[in-house]
Amino acid sequence: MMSLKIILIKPMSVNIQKILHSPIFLLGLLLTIILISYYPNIDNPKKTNYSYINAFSYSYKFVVDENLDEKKIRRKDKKWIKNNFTLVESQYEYYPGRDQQLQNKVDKLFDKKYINRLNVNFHLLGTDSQGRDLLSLLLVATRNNLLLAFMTVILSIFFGTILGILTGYFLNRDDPLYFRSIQNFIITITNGIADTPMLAWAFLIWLSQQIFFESTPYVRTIYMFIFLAITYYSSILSKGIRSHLYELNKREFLSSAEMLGVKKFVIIYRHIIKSNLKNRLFSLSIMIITQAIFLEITLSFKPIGIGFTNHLTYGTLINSLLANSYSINMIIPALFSLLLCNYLTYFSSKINKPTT
Amino acid sequence: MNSFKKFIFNVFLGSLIIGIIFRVIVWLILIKFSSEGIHYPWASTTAQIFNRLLFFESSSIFNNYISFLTITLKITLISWLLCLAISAILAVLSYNYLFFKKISNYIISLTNIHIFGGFLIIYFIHVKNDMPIPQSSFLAIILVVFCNGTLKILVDKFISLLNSIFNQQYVHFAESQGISKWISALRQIKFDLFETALEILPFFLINSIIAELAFDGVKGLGSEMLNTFNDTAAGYDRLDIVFLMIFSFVFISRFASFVYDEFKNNINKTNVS
Repeated sequence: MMSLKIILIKPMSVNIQKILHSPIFLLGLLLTIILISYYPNIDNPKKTNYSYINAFSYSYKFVVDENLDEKKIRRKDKKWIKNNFTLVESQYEYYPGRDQQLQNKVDKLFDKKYINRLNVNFHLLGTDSQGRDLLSLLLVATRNNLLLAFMTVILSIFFGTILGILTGYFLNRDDPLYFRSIQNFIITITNGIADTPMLAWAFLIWLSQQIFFESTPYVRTIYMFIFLAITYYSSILSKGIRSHLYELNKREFLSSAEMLGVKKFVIIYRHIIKSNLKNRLFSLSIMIITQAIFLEITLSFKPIGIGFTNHLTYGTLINSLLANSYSINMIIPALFSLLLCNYLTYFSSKINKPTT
Repeated sequence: MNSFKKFIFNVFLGSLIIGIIFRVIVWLILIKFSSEGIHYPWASTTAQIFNRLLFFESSSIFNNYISFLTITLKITLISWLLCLAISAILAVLSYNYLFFKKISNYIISLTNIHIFGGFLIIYFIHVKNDMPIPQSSFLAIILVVFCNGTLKILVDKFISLLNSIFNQQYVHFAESQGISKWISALRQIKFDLFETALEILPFFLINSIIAELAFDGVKGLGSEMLNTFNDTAAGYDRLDIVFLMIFSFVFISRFASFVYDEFKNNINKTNVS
């Protein structure tokens, strides 16, 4: 029995692990999140329910269930309801949270059973301070952050790989001699860029944009990420690729391929990128996605305030909830983004592990 | 290239050049301000404009700057040492007791929540209880140690380090002769620990800066960087402090890498000889 259990359970767990660690699963998960995020409507269409609703709860409205004029309530209350409730299809209704004084009065009417309470929408993660569904907001924020991160990754991988292969393979030859000088020059510049803290670059780009180009925070932040991808992230990436190529050069199969007359571009594609750099580039891409998400949160963080302001991202979501912080809901976007980043980091570390 | 030359060219001059590049860019921004009507006393003649690029306005800038630098270095070094000590203890305990390894693995996995994640938790606890958020270096240190994810990386690294050292033949031989494996491998453990510790020092500097950005009250280089760039955007002349800040950031991280490389080279030389 025991052995049967082992036979049945072990392959299952191994399969689950295999699925969780496969790049296709990760890409599928991220793409699913992006596609699902187009479905929900993030607006609060009635623009009335301005209050937090806890997770696993319904948003609700107060209604007068019968004809108000025929209802046996005080004339003064009737008048108050007519003034403060909204008439929708011959029914008076009121969404809570607009004003605390109004809310107190409505609660009194509800206690006296003059009005009824009806559930409107179910909110799995609750709502933000404006009554918008937090899960929908999170999905849209995840999409925006991932798209920004993908843009950063594509640019940095493109420029980083070119720089890395250029300095680690193409120019890493003694003949002709000036190759070494060019290699040293590129290495000095990329090292200089990579050694300066990313925040200093971000501030400098922000400052230059403030002074030289007038643009909205959205455009400014997009340009900032493009600039950082081309300079900072590609420098870091080229550093990693270069050190990897130095190790490959020691194994001499690149020199052997050259001696056999294989063209350099074929060597770069087949022997370097396809057979050696593929996994490393993938794990570096995931690392950059994580860093881009954290950078966005950092830049949009209120005390710093050089990132997005109105665009829906993790950073702005955390900020808007920081401003209305009397609900446990404010911690959910932060936890969600950290969970996603932790999963990506874990995934990256699993890919980086040497295979035996 | 010998060590001294490497220090001068790579560490000192390299940092100086990056500092100068930032100085030139901010100087260009100030000239742009000057053309838009914001008056700087030094911008009346061309010679004075170039003088401003090359020379400091006054020496008093250094006094303020050193106090900022001290706070940042204090946070960096204390959190670095604390993180090393905690991770070394956790690694030794995890190496000796399997159940502890499993528990600590789960617990320290939670530390990878980024400094702002930690700050949000502190913020939420205080706001919920209607208390002001304490602005102390102590909290910044706690965040840097427990929220930047290095603790887990270090513990994993130390455990694999202990495994590789204790599997070496000289340790097995010493054990067979009745000498404790810890005593026989102590020298190598110390070297490897120090090597790993040096490698991650620049990372702690960056995290200290981020922690300072979150806490307004901790007046280190991070908060000063934020103020400096905000001031520059508002038209104030902060040319000298920008230069000093960037120079010291790059210098510290390059100096740590330099010490790490030198240490590694010396160990390799000793092993070869």
